[in-house]
Amino acid sequence: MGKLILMRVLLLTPVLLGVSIFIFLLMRLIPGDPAVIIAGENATPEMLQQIREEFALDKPLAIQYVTFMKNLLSGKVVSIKTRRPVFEELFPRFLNTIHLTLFSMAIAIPLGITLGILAAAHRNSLLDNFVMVLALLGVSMPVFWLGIILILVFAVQLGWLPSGGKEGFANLILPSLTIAFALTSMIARMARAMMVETLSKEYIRTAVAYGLPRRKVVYKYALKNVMIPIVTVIGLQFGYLLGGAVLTESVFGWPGIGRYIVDGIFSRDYSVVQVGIMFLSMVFVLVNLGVDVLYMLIDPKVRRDVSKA
Amino acid sequence: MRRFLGLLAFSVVAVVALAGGTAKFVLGVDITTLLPADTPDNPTMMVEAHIFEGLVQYDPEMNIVPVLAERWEISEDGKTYTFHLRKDVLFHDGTPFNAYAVKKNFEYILNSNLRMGNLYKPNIERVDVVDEYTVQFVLKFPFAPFINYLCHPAGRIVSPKAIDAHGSDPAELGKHPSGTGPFELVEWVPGEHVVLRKNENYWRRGYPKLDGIKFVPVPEAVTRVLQVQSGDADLAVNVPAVLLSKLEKDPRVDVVSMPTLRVIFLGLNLKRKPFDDIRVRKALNYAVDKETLCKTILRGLAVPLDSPISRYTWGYASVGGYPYNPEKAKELLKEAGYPNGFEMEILTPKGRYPQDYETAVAIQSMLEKVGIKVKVVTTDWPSYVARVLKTENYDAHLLGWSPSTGEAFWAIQPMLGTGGVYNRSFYSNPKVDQLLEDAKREPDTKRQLELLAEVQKIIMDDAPWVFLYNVYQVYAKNSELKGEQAIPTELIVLNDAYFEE
Repeated sequence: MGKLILMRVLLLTPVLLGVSIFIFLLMRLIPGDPAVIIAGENATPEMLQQIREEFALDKPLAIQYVTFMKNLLSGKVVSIKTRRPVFEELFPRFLNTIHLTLFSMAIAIPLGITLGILAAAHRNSLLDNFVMVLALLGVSMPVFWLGIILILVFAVQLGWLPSGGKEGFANLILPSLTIAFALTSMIARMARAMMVETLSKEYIRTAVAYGLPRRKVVYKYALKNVMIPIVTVIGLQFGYLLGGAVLTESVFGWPGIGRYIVDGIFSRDYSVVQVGIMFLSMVFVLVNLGVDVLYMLIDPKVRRDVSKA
Repeated sequence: MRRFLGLLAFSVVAVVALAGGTAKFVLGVDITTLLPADTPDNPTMMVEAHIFEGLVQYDPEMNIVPVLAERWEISEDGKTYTFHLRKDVLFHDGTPFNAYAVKKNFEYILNSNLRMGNLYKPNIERVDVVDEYTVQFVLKFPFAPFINYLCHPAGRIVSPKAIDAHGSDPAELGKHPSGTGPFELVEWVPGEHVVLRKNENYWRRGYPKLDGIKFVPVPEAVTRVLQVQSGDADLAVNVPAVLLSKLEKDPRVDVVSMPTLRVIFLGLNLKRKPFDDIRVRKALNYAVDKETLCKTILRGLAVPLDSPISRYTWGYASVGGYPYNPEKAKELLKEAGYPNGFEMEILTPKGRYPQDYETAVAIQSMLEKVGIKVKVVTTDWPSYVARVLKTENYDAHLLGWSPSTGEAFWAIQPMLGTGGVYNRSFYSNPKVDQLLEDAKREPDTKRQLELLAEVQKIIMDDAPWVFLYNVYQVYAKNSELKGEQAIPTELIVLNDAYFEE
C-alpha cells in the first residue's frame, strides 16, 4: 500500500507539468489582453506597455512559460491584477471552499445513503417514489435558480438566515443546502440503484433462504458491497467541489476558489488561472488517491490484489 | 444635494440624525489595491474615496471643491498652480499633512511605475514647497485641465510615512493605506471584505456620522439587490433594470438613479465601406430612435446625446443631434447610392453597460425599417476588447466611455482625436485635433469653452458614431440610509451618510 501511495505521489510531477503547459497555452489561445482588461478603460498606451513589461507579456511564449515556472518554483507568482502573490490570495479562498464542501458533504452523505438504501429496501413503495422524484428534482434543478429561491424564502421573506457573504456559521447554511440538495440526490440515486442490484445477487438470495433476518441481510451484507461505488461517487464529487462550486459561490457571494479562478479568467489574469488550475489538479489527484486508499480499507479484495501486485 | 431623478421621490423633512451604525456596502467585485495612484478600477476608487482625500475633488454636481487645499491660484502663463493647504489635518498614522506630504506624493508618482502615473507624468515638471502649508506645481506647458486632473482619484494624498516604509513595493503600500479621510482601514481580507472604522481625529468636525463601513464583493447582481431587501446590506451598486419595478414596491428599499458622465455610442468603422460616406453615417443616426431606446430599453434611465460628451462633463456644449427621421435616412441612403440599404454587423458586449445587448438588438430592428440588414454579434468582454482594440475587423461597435478626469479633453481626445487610444472608428479631422490643442493651452476659460463647443459641433456633424445616450448609475439602498453622495464619475460615497431612525 505504501508503495502504491509513493508511486501515485511521484506521478504528480508529470501530471502537473502537463497541466501547466496545457493551461498556459489555453490561456494564450483565448482572445484578450490582460493589460487592457486590468488597466481599465482609462488606460494610456504607456500604462498598457508598462503592465506588459512587468509581466513579460510582450516576450515570446517560451520565455513567458519559463519565467512563469521559475517564479512558481520560487513561490513568487503574483497576480497581474492585484500584484499580490497568488498563493496568498488562493489559500484563504481554498479554505472557504473546504468549509463549504465539508459542510455540504456532512449533510449529503448520511442523508443520501440513508434515503437511497431505504428506497431500495422498500422498492416501489410510496417512500421509494417520493425519494426518487425528489432526487430527480435535485439532480435537474439549476443551482443558480435554487440558490436564488432559497435566498428569497429564507433571507428576504422569513429573515431567518443571511442572504450571502461570509461572516459566520449562519452564512454557510444556504449555500451548503444548495450544494447538498443536488449531492444528496446524486448519492441517493446511486445508492438505490446499487442496492437494488445487490439485493438481486445470488449470495443475498442464499442468505435470505438460510432464514437470516432481512434487516441483517440488507444492512450488513448488502450495504458493505454497495459502499464501493458510493465511495467512488462521493470521492469524485468531493474532488469537483474542492474545485469550487462556481455558481453557488457567485449566487451567495461566497469567496471560494472557483469564483476566484473564474474571475481570473474574465480578467485574463494568467498568473491566477495557471496557478489555480495547477493547484486544483494536484488536489484532484490527491483526492483520488485518498479514494483508492479508502477502497482498500473497505474491500479486502482490493487490498489483496494490491499486495499481490 | 440635488436629486436629478429619484425613482422614489425624496420628501424633504427635517430629521434628527442618529449618530453611529455600520453601513454594509455591496460591490460587484473585490478591490485591487488601496493605493490611489495605482488604482485603475472604479470599485477600488469607491473604497479609497472613504480613506483618502485629494487637494480638490468633484461634488455631485461636478463642481470642483476644495478639500485638503483651502484655495488655489493659477499663474498668468497657466504653468504654475499654487495651493494653500489646510493646517489642521492629520493622516491616520498621526503624521501631519502639509506641503512636504504633497510634494512627497507627487514625486513618488512621477518616479514610480504606478498604474495611473501617466495622468501626471506628462505634464508636471516639478513640485515645490513654498512654505509648510503652501505648495506649487510647475507644469511643463500651460495645461488648462490640470485642476481637473487633480480631482481624479489618483491624486489623493497618502501619508509620507507610509510611502517611506512601503513605497519601494506599490503592492505592499497598497496593503497599508494611511490617508486623511473620514474612515481608516481595519481589515482587508481579499475576496471577503474591506472593513473601515471612523477616523476619530477627522478634520471636518462632526463627521463622519457612521461608525464604520463594510465593503463586500457580491458578483451576482440579483443577490446584491436581495441583500438590500433582506436587510443584510445597506447599499448595492449596479441594479439591473429588470428588477426595478419589483424594488419600487418594497418600502424597505430606495432605488436611486443619478446621472453619470458615461456616453454610449455605436462607433462606425470609417475605414470600411459604406461607412466612409458621411451620408450613410448621417442616415444611420437619423434611423435610430434614441428617445424610444431611452424610454423603453433603458426604462428612462438614460438621456439621448446632443453632443459626443455627457452634459455633466466639464466643457460640454449642446450641439443638437439627429432627431428620429427614417424618411430622411432613406433619402440620404438613396443619395449615397444605397436605395435598397445594405448589410452590416454590430459588435456589442453583453452586460458590460446597462442593457447594452438589448440596445443593439433594438437598433437592429430600427435599421431594418430603412432597409439595412443588421447582424448582432456578442462575445465576452475580454474577447470583445481584444477584437475592437487589436483588429479592424468590424463594421460597428457598441461602446461606453466615461472620462475619469471629468473634463472634455479626456472625453474626446482618446475616442475621437487622430490616433487616439480608443479611436476605433478611425475618425480623423485635423481641425478637431488643432482646436483641441489650442483649447488645452488657452488660459482664458471663456475662449476655451468656445473652442471646445466648436469641436463638439464638428464631430456631431461628421457623425463618426451613431450617437446614442448618456446612462444613469442606479443603486439600491436601505431606505433608512441617508446622505450618501453619488458623483457622476460613477462613485458613491458615504462620507456624510447616516442612518435615520
